[in-house]
Amino acid sequence: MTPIEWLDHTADAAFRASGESVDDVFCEAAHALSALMFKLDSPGGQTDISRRIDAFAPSLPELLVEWLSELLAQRELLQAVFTRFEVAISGDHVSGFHLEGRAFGETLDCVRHHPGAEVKGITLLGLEVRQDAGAWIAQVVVDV
Amino acid sequence: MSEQHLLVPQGPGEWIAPLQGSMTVPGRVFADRDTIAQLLADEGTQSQWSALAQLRNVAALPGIVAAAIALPDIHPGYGFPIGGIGAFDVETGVVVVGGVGFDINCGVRLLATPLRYSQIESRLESLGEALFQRIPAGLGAQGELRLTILDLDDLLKRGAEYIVSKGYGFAEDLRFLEEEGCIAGADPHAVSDLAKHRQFRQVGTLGSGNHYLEVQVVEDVLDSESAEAYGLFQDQVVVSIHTGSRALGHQIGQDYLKDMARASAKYNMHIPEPELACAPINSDEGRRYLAAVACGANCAFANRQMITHLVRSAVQDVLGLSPRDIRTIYDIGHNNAKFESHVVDGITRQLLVHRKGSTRAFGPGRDESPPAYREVGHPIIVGGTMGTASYVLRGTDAGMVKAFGSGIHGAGRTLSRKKAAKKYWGETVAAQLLSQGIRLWAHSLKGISEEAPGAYKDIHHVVDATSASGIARAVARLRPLAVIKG
Repeated sequence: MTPIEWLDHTADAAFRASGESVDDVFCEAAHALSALMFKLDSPGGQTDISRRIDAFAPSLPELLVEWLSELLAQRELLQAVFTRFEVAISGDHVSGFHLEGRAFGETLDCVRHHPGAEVKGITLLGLEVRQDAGAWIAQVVVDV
Repeated sequence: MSEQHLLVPQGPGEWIAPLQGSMTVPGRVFADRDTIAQLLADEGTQSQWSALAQLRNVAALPGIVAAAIALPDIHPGYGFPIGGIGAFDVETGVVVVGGVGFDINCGVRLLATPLRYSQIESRLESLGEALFQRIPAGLGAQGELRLTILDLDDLLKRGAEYIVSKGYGFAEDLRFLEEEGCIAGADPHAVSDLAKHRQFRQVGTLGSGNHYLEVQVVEDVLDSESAEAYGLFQDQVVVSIHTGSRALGHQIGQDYLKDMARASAKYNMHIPEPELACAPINSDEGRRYLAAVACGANCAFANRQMITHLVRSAVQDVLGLSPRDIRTIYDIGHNNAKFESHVVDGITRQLLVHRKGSTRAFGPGRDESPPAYREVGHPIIVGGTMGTASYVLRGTDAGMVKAFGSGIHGAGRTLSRKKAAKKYWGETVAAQLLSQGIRLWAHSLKGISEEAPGAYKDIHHVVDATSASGIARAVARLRPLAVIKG
């Protein structure tokens, strides 16, 4: 299974990310979000930006929205392109879920990163975080 | 339910989605047969993201009045379909995040020059280049205006007038903006600090995706009386600006999606899907969201006002026109929820009208239109594709009755961005446009392929379907000459 599968949504953009653990799948979803907006594999960049992100939510799908929407906001404030992510999720459905994450990236360079359409928001449409045959799957529709 | 019962013909270009499930009102769809066929096909294959299913969901929300409405540019959105309208009783109804979306009051402003195409043809290249250099566009672009948090709060309360007060434009502009460029009830305290911090550098920026700035020519006048009222004439050069509330609106949408999801649970709302998270209009949560939406809307009006100033300065430099020669014809949003009075079954009612990918389209005689336009109704500005045309329409009495005075906002996508990017190369699209006499300046080749004209419905068919249904009338067709994309 490829870590990111792009799905069809007529007006917006959608993807399904997969990973071996829930932490992995949150990292892959973050990677998909960056890849929607930027070319991430252009050489020459220096990973000189690092931002810690904490998020809390009562469920994993809601936590995913918190994580991705915070990444959108921080990316914009820092004028950054995030290229690598670390995530550690703890908690449960009773006490809620906590994400301690970090996004690493480069200063936005319009020549190297080829910006495309910006993502305006993370929707709840078709939102999923689930386990399937041992893998973790996350599905997200974003407004572009 | 079988296909023939999902949509029942009602009249020319009009179809009814009868009650089923938890719908409390029917759906009413204005469209041609091709669009109806597409809606039914989508229903069969991907019901989760089907526009028709989304319309039925809207028809099941508390307090919705008369019908959930879809216009000929309908396509799947999130929550509401794009091209969808829901009007809610102010006492019993709800305000819905998915009926406004993330790009609050995204809309189009149309500016008129006094010149004919033949007078600028030789300088079009220079004009396009000047506009491309002058107007910040694309992901990461920043505006010239530097604001403090107090300035921004002021802007959110005052909308376009704030920008005019700083010397960017004229008081005359304000008379020709929907709501005169300021929605009442805006409360900056309802907007998060994060939203404000994201916006500091974005006032006067175009954005990316389907946002654009176009120099256009009036290719055909289709309703001379209305065109004259609007000051449009054959071969006239005009400029369209399509953008919205930028990061501030995006963050308001994100913040309140969460808050309204909580409110839906608190008020025991049975919402058909999470994007329709809502709160009673008459609740603290509902009022607070509407106060934030008004801020977002005012930010969008201010943004288009600032870009108008930049357009004027570029036109002055290249064509030698005075900024006052560039007149605002109208500015109208297509993602909003607004309080309006409408006659329903013979009774005048106060309603909260959500339009997601739809404009207000008030017909003749409404006080909300500028006095100069009151006899014919205000203009509806319909953004087409960069390779075909845009249109100016006007509202009708029938549209007031059948569609809460609402009009189409664009062509409506048929291909996803993913499919469009696969099918069209940016360079090829640009070359094809040039062969049609359309010059393109863009910051993103990927963006060009995603926005290729072939990714959209035929705008002419969409306008024809609108006219055939009687809810609006075509006034003028505008052909793109120079296109600026993010």
